[in-house]
Amino acid sequence: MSAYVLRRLLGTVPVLVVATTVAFLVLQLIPGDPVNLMLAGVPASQELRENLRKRLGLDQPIHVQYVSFVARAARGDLGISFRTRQPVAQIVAQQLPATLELAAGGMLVGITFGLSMGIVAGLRPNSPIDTLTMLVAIVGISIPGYWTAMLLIYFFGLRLGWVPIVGTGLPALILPSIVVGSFAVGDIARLVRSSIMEVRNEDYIRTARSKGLPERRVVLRHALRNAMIPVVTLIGLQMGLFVGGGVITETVFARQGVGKLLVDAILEKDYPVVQAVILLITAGYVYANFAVDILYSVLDPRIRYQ
Amino acid sequence: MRWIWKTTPIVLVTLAFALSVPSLPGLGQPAANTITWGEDREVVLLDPRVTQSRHEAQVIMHIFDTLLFRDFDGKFYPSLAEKWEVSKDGKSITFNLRRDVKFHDGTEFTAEAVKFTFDSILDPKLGSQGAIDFLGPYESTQVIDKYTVRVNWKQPFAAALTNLSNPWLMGIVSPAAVKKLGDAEFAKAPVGTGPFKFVEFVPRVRVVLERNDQYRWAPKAFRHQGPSRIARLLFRTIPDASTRMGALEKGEIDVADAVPPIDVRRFRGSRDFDVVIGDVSGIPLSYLLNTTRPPLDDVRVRQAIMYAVDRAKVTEQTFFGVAKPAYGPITTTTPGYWAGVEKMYPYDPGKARELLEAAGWKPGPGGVRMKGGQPLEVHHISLLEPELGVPVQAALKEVGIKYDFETVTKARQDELVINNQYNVGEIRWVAVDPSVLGIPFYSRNVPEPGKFKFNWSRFGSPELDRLILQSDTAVDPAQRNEILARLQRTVLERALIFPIHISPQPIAFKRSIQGMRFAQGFWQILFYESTVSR
Amino acid sequence: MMPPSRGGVLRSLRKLSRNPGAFVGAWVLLVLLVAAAAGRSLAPYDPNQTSVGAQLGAPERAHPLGTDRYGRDMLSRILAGARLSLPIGLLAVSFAMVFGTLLGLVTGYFGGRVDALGTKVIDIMLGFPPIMLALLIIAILGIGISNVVLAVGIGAVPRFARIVRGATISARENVYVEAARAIGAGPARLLIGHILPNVAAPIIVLATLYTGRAILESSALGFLGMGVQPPTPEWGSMLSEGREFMRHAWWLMVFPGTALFLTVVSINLLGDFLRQVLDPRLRGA
Repeated sequence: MSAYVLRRLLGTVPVLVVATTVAFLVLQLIPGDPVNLMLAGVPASQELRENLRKRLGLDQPIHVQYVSFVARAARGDLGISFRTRQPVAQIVAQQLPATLELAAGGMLVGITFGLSMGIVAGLRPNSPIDTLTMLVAIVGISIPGYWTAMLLIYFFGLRLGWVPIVGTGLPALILPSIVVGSFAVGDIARLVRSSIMEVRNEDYIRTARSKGLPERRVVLRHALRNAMIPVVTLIGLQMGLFVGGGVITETVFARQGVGKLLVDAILEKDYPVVQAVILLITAGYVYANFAVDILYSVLDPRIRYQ
Repeated sequence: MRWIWKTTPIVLVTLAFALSVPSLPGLGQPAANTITWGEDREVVLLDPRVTQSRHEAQVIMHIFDTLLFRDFDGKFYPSLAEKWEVSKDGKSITFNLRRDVKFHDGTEFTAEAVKFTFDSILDPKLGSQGAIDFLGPYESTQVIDKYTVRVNWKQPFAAALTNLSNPWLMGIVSPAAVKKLGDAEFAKAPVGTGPFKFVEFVPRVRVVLERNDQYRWAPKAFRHQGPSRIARLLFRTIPDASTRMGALEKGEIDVADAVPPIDVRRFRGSRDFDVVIGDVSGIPLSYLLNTTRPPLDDVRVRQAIMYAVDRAKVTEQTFFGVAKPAYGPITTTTPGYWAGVEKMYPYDPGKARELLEAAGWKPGPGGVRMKGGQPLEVHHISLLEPELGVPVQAALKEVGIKYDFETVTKARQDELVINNQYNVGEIRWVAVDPSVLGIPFYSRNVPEPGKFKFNWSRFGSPELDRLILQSDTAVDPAQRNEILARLQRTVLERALIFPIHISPQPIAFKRSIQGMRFAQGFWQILFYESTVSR
Repeated sequence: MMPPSRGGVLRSLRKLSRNPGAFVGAWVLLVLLVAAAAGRSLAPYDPNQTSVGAQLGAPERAHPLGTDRYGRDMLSRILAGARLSLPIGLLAVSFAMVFGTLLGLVTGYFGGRVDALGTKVIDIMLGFPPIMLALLIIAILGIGISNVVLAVGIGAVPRFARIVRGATISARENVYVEAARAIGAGPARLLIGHILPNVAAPIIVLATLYTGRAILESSALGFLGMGVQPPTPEWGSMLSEGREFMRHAWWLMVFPGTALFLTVVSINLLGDFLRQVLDPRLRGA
């Protein structure tokens, strides 16, 4: 088991390296000089701009900049933001909790509703509940997320006033989580449903049934476990969706977060922030996948020996 | 077991509602005598010597004082300096300082602090983005004695007094605090002499200030003197306009910055709220017309554009009656404004068509004029106010101009500007002194690779440069106004700039708050003499 | 495994009429396509003409879907928007189809280091939240419709590549592919002549399913202000204005969003149906 874990872990390193390089290179392609962007709107003298350029190390050739970035990152120093002069690591750390909060909320909503609807639909195929579930699932992936957000804000925030729109506490998390979760509910529900439908008719289920076990127990103890395998994989793959869905949702709800940070940094050519966030997101995705793989191998022992 | 799946969502939602109770308005309110301000952009540092953000300035001006205070009507009052004297050659000013002022950290305010503040602004390690240019041709500061200081410039500096009174950038910092914390930390925990002291700063989220009980040196422009009657100031960042308005309605904030024009009517007419609108001074939202690229290299085409658009109507429509049209390169609220600009380019589409015909542009297919087989097409890059695009485009189409409106990111705008790949760019500059005219019109400010400046009409002439320099060094106000009038007329005659509208700064607030005052420039609000009635 | 035959098409059509979801979807889509195609003649006003009605006018007889902040008729603008949103989605998917298939075929067929490199690239692109990838591309290329198409298309390439690669790998082992190779057919011939027809079905299904998503993603970019330039009507940017005036003109938000929703849901219903038709031979497409 540990050999497998180690192997997977080592496999993540090259992906990270490539991702960092790509992020760094891509940023060089974006037009605009960061010094001018930082000082735009301010009558700064030529000398001032040159000084700033030197201070930020922008007069070095590209490969030198890259190497110094990697070297510092390895030490945990992600550089200084061009725009705010604060250490990037600090900025990202400040924005991270809000994004994690939202992703967790979204995941909670998505998994809870996706699982429950999928199970019910899978157990009673072609019933009205099944059709309803499938309908909800299709609607979930057909609706623009920012539209859902706007509608929810309009009805529950403005008209009815049930939930606050601005703020950082738990209540302010409700609407955004529903929006982010809705992206995943559809796919999760459908997958759970088809998994359960497949598994129901397997031999070992029939055996359990013939043993006289109650249907409920048959399903939840035996069927569910195997049905979960592809679902777990799906959730892992959805990680990107939760963070990505977060970008739009963060914008519409005017929340803090890593997504918004990245968007602003890209538009302002704040190199260090963009590099750090891309690195963070890729690492997060890679390790989320890694965790999913491990979980997968726990659920299905056959995987470990491949 | 299935019931778990069914009831979990219900439990979660109930839990969420239960936890939301404390945050409902009416319960757990902040203490009385607190004013909460909803800001529309984020605040990342609080050092007046470094900042270039109008939003950070809103906070900064409550923490720091300047040597002198300039009210929104242009009059000067003593602040940290009791009196001052400008030398005969206009190159230095001697300030006699108050003796009873203390910084928030208990240290005394002396001439040393003034010298420290100004000299440190020049230090490249500090990274000043705004103040450094406001010091102008600064040479040095001399400490004459403990409470007397002389500031010297390399040449006569007409904007000296105005600039030194600038509350965003010229606040005097506590040398002891800077030395103890270092510049980076000081920007997050500032120490000044102002009516409010720093308490807490969560970057991009909120700043908390509390009353300075020792404050007794308020400028006489304020009727109230002594410590503020407000105990706490809370600045919250709420970038989304409708969220900010919602927060005001629900009572989560008391004052809202940058109210969208369409909401102004609603708050004005309401029982619990009111709106005050400032006409921001400086350069109004204007289009700079690139004189080096066809078709705008012909002054007649540029002038035609200025006659073809009904600025009053466009402004009224786009801003729902809240903004005023602009006809000159500086706003009506900027000192030195010359009213003659209002007669120079009235709305006259007939005249516009005449000019275009005279320039050789004849009516062509699709309503777009042609000359030598080329359509009359103008490329406008928009970063500041894309919403003006639609009515302006429509107006210009009427006279036969195809106006391409391209919304761009800052990065792309810079690229196009530096490489001279545009016909029209947008400019707007908040300023309290007419010296701001040098920024778009001085010949050396034409942008090129490696040099990002704002002379986007790319026009320079010795005559214009001379006017600008003269207006910057004319220390006598009457003389200066005369030069400024000539300057304004010249740039309009040559059709370098097409002013559209004055930026409004609508502030909505609860009627229970009184005593708010616009800072000079009409962009920020000062709360020093405010009160909250029950 | 071959795509359904002619008789199969007729059978499928009959199946369609029995499946309520797909049936409704097909009709809605048809209506939308007709509206889009005939939009110019159907629209009561010029979508770009300002001040045909009051500023921010509520729905009424002259303007059934209301007017926007410049007094432009919303019905005309939404019809015009269809002419943009549908082709954008289709173009983006076509782009992804072409390049994704290419990438998938090459990595799946040649294997080895080519495959290892290719899969790494695919994995990294998939690791990005889709919006961020699109934003990066827009930041490089600039704002504009064609760049939106590219951004969405590039984001979809890895998905196509992954599916095609999987199908290619299994098709590679096919008996008659080996036979063709034994006769001496070159890789190009094999790829195009034998492998491609076998991977066609999953490509078609993914393309149909992805079109709806492409339309949503491109409208999201429009919503963020990265798409069209004024005065062009596009549903996403119309929704952005709807958000700005949410409290004053709910119709600016409701109608463009509904149009988007109806379009995408009907495409998805049809796509789902299509997948069921081709399904028995696919797993987890």
